[in-house]
Amino acid sequence: MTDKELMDAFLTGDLDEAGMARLEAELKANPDLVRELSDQQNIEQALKVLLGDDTADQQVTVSVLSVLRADPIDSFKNDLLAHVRKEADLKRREEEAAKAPVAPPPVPEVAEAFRPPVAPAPVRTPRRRVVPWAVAGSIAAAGLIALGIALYPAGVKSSAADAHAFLLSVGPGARLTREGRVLPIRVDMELVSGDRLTLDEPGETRIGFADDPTRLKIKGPAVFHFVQGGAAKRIELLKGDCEIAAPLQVEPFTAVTPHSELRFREGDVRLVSAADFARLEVRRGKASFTSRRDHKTIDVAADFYAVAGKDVELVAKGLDRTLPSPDGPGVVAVLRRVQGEVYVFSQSPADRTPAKPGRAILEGQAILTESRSSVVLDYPDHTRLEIGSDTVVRRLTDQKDRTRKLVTLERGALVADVAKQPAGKAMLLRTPQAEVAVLGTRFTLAAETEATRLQVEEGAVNFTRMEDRKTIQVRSGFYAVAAPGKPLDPAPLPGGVRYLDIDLNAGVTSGDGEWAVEGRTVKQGRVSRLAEGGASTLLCRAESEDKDSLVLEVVVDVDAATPDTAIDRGSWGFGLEAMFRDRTVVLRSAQGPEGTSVFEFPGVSAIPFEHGREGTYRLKLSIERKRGSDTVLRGKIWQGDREPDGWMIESVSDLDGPMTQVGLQTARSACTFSSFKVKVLKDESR
Amino acid sequence: MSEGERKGRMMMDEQSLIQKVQEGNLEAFGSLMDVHVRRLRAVIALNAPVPHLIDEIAHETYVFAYNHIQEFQRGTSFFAWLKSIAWNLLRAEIQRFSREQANQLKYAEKRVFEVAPGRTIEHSAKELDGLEKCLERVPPRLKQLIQMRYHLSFSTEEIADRVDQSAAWVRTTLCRLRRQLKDCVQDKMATEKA
Repeated sequence: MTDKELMDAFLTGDLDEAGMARLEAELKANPDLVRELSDQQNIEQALKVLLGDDTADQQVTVSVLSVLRADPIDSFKNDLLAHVRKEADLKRREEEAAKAPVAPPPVPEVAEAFRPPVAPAPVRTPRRRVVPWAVAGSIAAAGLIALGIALYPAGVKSSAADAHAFLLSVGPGARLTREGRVLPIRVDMELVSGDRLTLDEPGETRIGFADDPTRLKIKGPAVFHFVQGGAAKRIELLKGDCEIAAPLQVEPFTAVTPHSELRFREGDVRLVSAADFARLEVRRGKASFTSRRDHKTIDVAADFYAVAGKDVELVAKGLDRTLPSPDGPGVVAVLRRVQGEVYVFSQSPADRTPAKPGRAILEGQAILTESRSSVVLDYPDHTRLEIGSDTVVRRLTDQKDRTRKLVTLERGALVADVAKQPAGKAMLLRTPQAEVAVLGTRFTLAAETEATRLQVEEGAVNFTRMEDRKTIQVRSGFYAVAAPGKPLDPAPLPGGVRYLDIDLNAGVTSGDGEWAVEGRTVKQGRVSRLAEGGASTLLCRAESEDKDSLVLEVVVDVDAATPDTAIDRGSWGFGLEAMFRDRTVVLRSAQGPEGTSVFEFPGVSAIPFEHGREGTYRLKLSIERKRGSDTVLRGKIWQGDREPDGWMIESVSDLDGPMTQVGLQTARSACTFSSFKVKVLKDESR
Repeated sequence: MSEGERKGRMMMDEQSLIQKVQEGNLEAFGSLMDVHVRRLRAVIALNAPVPHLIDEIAHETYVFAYNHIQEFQRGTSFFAWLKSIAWNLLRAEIQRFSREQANQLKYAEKRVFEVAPGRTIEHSAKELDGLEKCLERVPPRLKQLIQMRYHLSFSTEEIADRVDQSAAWVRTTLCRLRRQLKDCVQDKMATEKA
């Protein structure tokens, strides 16, 4: 990494320990770099604020208003009065029961009234407002303390003493801020009024309360503000998802979000706080839910939910707990590989439910992904949509002809891997600016506010601008942008990138496998039990030009692997192949018993690499060719959507002539291969 | 409505909100916050040595402003008042942070902290104006990168994928862009001063 890359990775929080050490060394060696980093950070922060959405602005506003609204002296006064009354009632009843004459309470001495053990710890954040009548309040409070001591027997526990909460478990990326300072966070840590808990990553953090078994489960990413515990518990959920289970409370439990206020005395609820709405689901008990926009309040009973926010009517609706079966009536597609926050909705995005892998999508249902989230959607004919982050896909089929695929991409981006469609029923993808008609190919479509970009990897598609219905054809290696007032012309992808056509249906298989091509997905369904080998290959024609540099990519779902990986029984694995005139390049992951698992160019170089038996992996093979020098081979393998920087393995070879075939390999495992593509890079030396 | 009229109207609305707040209306303070919160956070962001101070200082600034609203002189600039509160809080926070938190910071954060002070509130406010103007001049292709990073919150890899470049290219280009923006802002300020 260069200095610039290091600084940028530092600013985005992507530097690992090694990277941090390198940056540290650079900063020590070059003092000017410190000023540069400081400047970079300030501009970075300012751009984030200026160009980001208004969530953070709202969070500041809500958090300030909440602190100013919650009056510590009021709450302390009320708590104390409640206890005083309760104790007085109890005492009176006991005395009446004993039929004893009612004796006047002893007059307390002023000095006794301020004994240290009874001095309460009012739930007060240092940030809170000192109200103008604070002095008068303090005097009144002192009087009440005196009265309280008179009525309390020695050793009675103050309610305020139990007003804190504590961390039962801590999720990844959790940060606790107290009075402006970030504290090291740990399990069992006490939370006090004013603490702010920020969860940057997906994961759960659990919170308990000192005075009763109330429990909170917060799912990151989230921002949580602990206002107070005790008899009148109050929290703020500025962002994220929180489940609350509370036993009967003296005062209602209050949870505030930028769009709502929730109050309930007992039950199990789930509260979701998003930038534009808040959603409450009640599983047990009853809750009152107030929209902060118009201050309207409704009661939400068990098995009902309500949504408050911009342009949303505040009404309670029944929770639909029955999910459609993937092969049920009206099902148009099934969700796979759900990562991050992905939702399904019918009418409004505010009315959404979290999506899970395997969930069936019905006609008329839409899909929404949040930032850093993605989902793969499969149609029954194996057409696949890889839906990226911050995306809304409204429709999946044509309302008039349900056998025709019609996708409405409201915003965001998706990659479509389209299986061959029936004649006369080209799949249509629409954005506010454009329409794409396709009979079978692979491309990326991205809809921004004012423009739609189409990038074709394989084959060709018809691209129509809605404004004037002008249609152009965009071929592999080209892109086009539809935007008002801009010319609609295909242009070559930067860097001269294009993709080779791979006809999977015309592939040749070998070895001990059962290969099946379903649309643009290839399955090898047989786990070979052969002691040695058990390898199988599918080879397809994919001709490059002489000296082309290439990148082969594929997504591999390992469906099953042999349980038998003893040294004398061989191993299992999967890989990619590229055939040249006189040599074949293979990049594979070979999983054996402990210590023998490798990621390798077989017979050339290998690094230790071991992963679980099943899961989804992405594999990339780069073949870089330059005239007059050897070919450089590089490979990497990873899980998830975040491709690691750099390569994991590298080798050199003297390849001759053009590539003629590409292939997929399995060994003693059943795998599904998708998104298989070969990118051709421009040879810069020519 | 002309720009001058619009500003005048906003100023009038703001003054009536301040009057309501001074009469004890908390909801009016909410509206007042909405008007300035973005720019206030941006001013703080241009000077905060670590990102999480931005919202903390904005929060403290508003709480302080509400508690001292009676001291605010109507007819003067409310945003200027907020900025000076924020500035004092930030300065105090930097001093406190460098004393108490230095050992908890990563080396790079610590060094950034050390070079943080040395500017003035007026400087930072002008810097923000300059940055907004400089942003308008960024060519559309590069503006797309800025939008993807800061508006759409795409990861480097997602941006790289969309512009069909390597992650290293994205990081380097964004780094250069920020440098150019900083230089542009400084040029603007130097020109104004001259």
